[in-house]
Amino acid sequence: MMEKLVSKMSPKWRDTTVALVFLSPFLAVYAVFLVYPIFYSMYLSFRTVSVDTDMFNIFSDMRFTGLKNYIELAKDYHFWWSLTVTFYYAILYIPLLIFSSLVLAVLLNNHLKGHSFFRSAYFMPNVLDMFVVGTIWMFLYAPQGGVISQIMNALGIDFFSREGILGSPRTAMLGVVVALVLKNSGFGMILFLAAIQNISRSVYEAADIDGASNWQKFTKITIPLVRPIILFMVVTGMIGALNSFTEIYAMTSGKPNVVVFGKTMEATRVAGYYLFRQWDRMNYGYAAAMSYALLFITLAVSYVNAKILKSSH
Amino acid sequence: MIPKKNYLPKPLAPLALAALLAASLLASAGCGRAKSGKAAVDGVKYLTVWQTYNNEEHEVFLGIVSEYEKNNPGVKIKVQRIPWDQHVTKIKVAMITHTVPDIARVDPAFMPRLVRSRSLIDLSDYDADKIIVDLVPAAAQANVFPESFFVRDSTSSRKRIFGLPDQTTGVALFYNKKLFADAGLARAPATWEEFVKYAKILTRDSDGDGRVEQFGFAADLSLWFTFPFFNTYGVKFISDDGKTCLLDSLAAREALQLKVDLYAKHRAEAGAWQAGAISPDTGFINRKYAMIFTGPWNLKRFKDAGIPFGVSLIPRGPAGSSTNVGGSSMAVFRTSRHPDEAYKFLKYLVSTATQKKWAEALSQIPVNLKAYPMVNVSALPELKIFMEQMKTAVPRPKVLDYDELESIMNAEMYTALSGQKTVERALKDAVEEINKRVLNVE
Repeated sequence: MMEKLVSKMSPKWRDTTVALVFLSPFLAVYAVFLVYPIFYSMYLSFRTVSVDTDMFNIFSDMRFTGLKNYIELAKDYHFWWSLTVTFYYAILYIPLLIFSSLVLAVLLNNHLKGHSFFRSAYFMPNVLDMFVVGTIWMFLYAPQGGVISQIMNALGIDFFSREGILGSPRTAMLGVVVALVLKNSGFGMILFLAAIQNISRSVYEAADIDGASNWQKFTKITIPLVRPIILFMVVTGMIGALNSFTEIYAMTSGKPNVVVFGKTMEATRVAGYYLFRQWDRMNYGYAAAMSYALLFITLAVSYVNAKILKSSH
Repeated sequence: MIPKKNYLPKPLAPLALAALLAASLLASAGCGRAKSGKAAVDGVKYLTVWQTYNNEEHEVFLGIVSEYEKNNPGVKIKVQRIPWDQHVTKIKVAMITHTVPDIARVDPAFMPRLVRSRSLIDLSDYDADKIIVDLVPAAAQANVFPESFFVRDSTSSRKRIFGLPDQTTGVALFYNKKLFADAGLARAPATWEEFVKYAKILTRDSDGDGRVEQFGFAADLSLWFTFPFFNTYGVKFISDDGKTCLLDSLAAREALQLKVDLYAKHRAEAGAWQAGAISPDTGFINRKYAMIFTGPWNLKRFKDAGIPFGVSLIPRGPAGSSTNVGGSSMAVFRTSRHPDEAYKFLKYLVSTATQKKWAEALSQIPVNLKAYPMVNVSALPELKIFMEQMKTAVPRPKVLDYDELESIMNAEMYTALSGQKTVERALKDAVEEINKRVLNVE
């Protein structure tokens, strides 16, 4: 019967059907693990787990509370603090990432001996899992016995062995960002390297004839011509910051505590980590509302970035 | 123009459609809800137990299980190990997917949530009330709830029992006898006044370079390790109706002030509560810290390290000597197919004979008070101090989200210890947050 049905189809319909059949395994996975959760989390964001909710049927037993989760979120100073921390994280992370990636790319573009080895070596951390990298950096930063504190102690600087980088609210976020920048700059380096190698040599030769110094060539030719890569890294870096979680989970768990305007806050608790904490506490509705708030913030930030990107072209 | 092609041989297209349909049907199958545990086969009833013991404990537990099976031929017990730090998450997921075992070993801090959501079998329907009187009171009480706790709008204070403690622990004072002797101190401090005095004497800058090499005391940050301070001052955490946090009391302020003063005023505490500092256990082994609070799990470790240590009761405060309570409870899920058999096994687990065996094999505190005189402590005489200490231990506050309470308290205690807030301010803020985020949730 099925065969009859297919043979009756026009070639156009038959092709479409066949294409859909081939696509169906992916579409099924996509629908179950991406599309459905997107809509289901919106549904959850209007519901709340109460103290009496049956834990065996937790999702079906959640109470409908309308916009309560969103209203609570707007009033939650811990949420606003976590957003502030997220933007602070982005402000530290993005410029440092661009700077280190660009420096590595420029150095490797000079065809140093063994440059292909260095290119692989710098890219290698990028393929490692963030949790692994975070754990390694925790050992490096450890105030007692950590390599960094040992070296600094030998140089007569005892700050690193007293409070520790991750133990002080002043340096904890910077410590996380440095670990992340060194992990990710390999990828940025590849992007910059490709862009730099695409710049025509004749441009530099013309500059040479005009008597431009190396610094002038770098600032007046290289940087303007790799600007799309810089803007791309700003956009992806911002999205990455808004989604950041693993590095904080692995390295600080949001700590250390700090008093801000009389309230006790966590110095490295980014929005993604705060969302995880709410989910872990079974505040599923609240966490879903927060994920939607973060989604809209990410869309808004990406829109602004895209506008800037467009205008720069 | 690219000619259109049929990418699939004609007979395969309907086959692919049929396969897709079959896959969808298969995917939607198996969504039924089942009771946990296997049904009885040939008269044998199968129980599943999820436990979180360490390797040594696991071996002893397997021995207990096999002995139980030998004595009860109609019951077979399947033991599954799950990691302690993930057990709450795993149980939550298992409840949602209806794959919980018959019995699980759980953190007593998770019990209130399980009880409130009516996820467990009420063991009072059996003879648990008779069993529980023989168990360490603080450990047993973590499983006892008034009806008003889990029945909406009920005011009944009738007590119901939802689990039995399978293991209990708490901290006592460990002191380094050699460092004490060097400082001319003959015994452990008995009161907080003595404790402060001794801690100051034991804090030393032996080479005179202005840096302290040896501290009198080292404290953990967490609330659990701070309970001995609060409990010896008789601090009540939560009001009887469970709606108000009472931590801004004078007793609470004095208790926390004592801990803060040891670090900030007397300079006798090492700052071991700071992230990345040498932990109390490690510093005690390295002879950097003369006194710490820790539990029986460290007895063997310190002995193996050759530390000449003694164990003493937590110093007395206005409410006498007291400590915290750790350990775990065994509970039966409401979906169990064989709740009678599950309860019978729990009864066996906490029985005098089993607890004697458990305590001697693992150098742990038995949960059954009747086992106390039977335990041979000649190999580890310090265990006797712990058994004594547990008699005055105070259970943790029974709240639905203990982790959040601890997280709020840890943060506020950190601000007091680091001098960012006064003790009074820190406790006031803790009360405000606990009332809002832990106690008055709907």
